[in-house]
Amino acid sequence: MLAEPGSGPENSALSELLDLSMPADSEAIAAVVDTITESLAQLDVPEQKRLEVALAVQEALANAVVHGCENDASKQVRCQLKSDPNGRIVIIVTDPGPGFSPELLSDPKRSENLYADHGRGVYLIRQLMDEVHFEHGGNELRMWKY
Amino acid sequence: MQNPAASRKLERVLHRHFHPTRDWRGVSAEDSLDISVRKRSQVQVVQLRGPLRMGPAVDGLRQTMEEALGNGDTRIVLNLAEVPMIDSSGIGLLVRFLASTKQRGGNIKLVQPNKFAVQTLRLVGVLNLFEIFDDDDAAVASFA
Repeated sequence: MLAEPGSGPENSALSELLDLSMPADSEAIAAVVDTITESLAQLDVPEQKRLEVALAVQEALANAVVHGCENDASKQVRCQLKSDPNGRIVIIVTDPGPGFSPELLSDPKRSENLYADHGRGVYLIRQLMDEVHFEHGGNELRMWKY
Repeated sequence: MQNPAASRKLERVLHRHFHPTRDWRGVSAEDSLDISVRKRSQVQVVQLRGPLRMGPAVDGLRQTMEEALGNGDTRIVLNLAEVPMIDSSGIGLLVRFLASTKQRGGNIKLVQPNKFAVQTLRLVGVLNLFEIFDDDDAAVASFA
């Protein structure tokens, strides 16, 4: 699902649950994903939602590492987990890269793209999460799960 | 049809275990993918255990698939019963090698992908590219 640009839940009343930084190294992604998953389990988030959030975080961090940081392990990717008073959670992934325009991404479900070996990450995030916002020119991703 | 018992005698087990080489910030990441390969009736049966996602897991499976193709093995069964998650990197690998095997007259067939893996494959529109079976025997027999 996609929200209209600029809309979305209020950010002012969010409680910070996790604030992690990791080197831009694909081998560091799993530990962050597992930490977030464990935190969601402690919050009694149902398993199906935990799986969907875990995969969305996996995709977001992978994009940050590969595209935002060009696999430069000297750079850092930040991943935050927050919740609002209504129990909705938001994951914020930030990288130091130049950003990008998500509207320029091709549709992975088009027939000519089905056998492509890449290009599905952002699409998956949008399918798995309830709201997705790219901020600051595309190098901050906010994704909500209700 | 080849005698299954004789086929089992000819099985060659190749076991690879890929782990991340570093623990990040002292957190022990449960991110290992076990890959076991056996040959049955001229079909490579690849058993995976663990998440199939970017990093050593996808790299390991890529290496396994490249070796199979390099040896002329284009008929592959991939058992996903113990794979809790497949990310877009894993999906990209699967469809890429599906295309490669098909170009060589072979195929990659899937066994027991779990509910979430099926959901993921369906979400990105590639589920119907694959034949899916309930067990290795049925998948291997389908190549006959």
